[in-house]
Amino acid sequence: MTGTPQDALLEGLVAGREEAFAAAYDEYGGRLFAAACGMLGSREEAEDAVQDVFVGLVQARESLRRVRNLKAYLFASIRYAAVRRARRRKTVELVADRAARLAVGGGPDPDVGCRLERALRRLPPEQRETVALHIDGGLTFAEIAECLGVGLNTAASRYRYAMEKLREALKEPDRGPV
Amino acid sequence: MDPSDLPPELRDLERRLAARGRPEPSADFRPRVLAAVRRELAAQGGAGRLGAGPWWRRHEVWQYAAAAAAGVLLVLNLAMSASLGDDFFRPRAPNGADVAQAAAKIRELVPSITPDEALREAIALRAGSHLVMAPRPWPGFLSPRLLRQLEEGVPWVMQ
Repeated sequence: MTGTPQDALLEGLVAGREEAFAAAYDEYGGRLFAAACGMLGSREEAEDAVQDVFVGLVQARESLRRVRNLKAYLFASIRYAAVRRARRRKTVELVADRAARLAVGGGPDPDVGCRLERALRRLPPEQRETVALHIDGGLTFAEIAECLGVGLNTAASRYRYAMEKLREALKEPDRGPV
Repeated sequence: MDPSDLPPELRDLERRLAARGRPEPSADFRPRVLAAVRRELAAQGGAGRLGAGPWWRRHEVWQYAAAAAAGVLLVLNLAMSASLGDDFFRPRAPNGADVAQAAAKIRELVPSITPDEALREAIALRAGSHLVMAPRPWPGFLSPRLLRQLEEGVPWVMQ
């Protein structure tokens, strides 16, 4: 079975070797966290979701034998974990707070950064997760399509619609926190 | 749609989104995740041993148990069928030659009967020959009239 580094990693995960889980975290943990932040808008919840994914990997490690693309599997898992957490979320946080805690402020105008975050929060979930997976998770559209179980064109269209909505939202006068 | 077809304005927006910087987990997050992984591996009975763990958490044990239970049920079913004397290969449909022979016999005994009636009687006799004896049901099960008839001395009913 050992062929590509991913195969070796999968083999280690199936065998329950701790160093394989550490390697998987080093390879994908940061991007999974970033994507979860994009979907959930909360660092704490994103960390919990990533932890859920890794604990779930241990619990389901025997079924990993059937996994062909570990990256797509992990991002599909983080999406599932994020959706599950979003459903049971009890409090609504202010986007400005999220934006501050996510250490956004990357642009020249912090206000634009906050408006961008608010606009992202207003996107339909399927568009928001596509943006999170592409921008924060670094997935290609083919990988997003595999992860979400949709066609390549659907994934690309969702992304484009999201970008158009964000552009329109930035043109409008600021509507304040959601 | 080719995603690289984004117009320059959207490309610029994409750059701004990417420029927000990727959020990083807190410094103690990696050890926390790996500790959770270690705990889960330990709960399964030790890292590095595939399939180890409490026997009731191993799905192959339950697969084996389910297969064994199915086998036992099949054997029990066949054994009970054999002990009850079920004959699954006994012909159920009346044999045409037998019925014709019986009809001819009936006509010999009762010459006044028409051939059609003799045939009907023969078929009825043939069908009745496969009835099995059944124990008398509990009294409340039957109508009072039938119950009286039974109590007059008919110990068994044909079903």
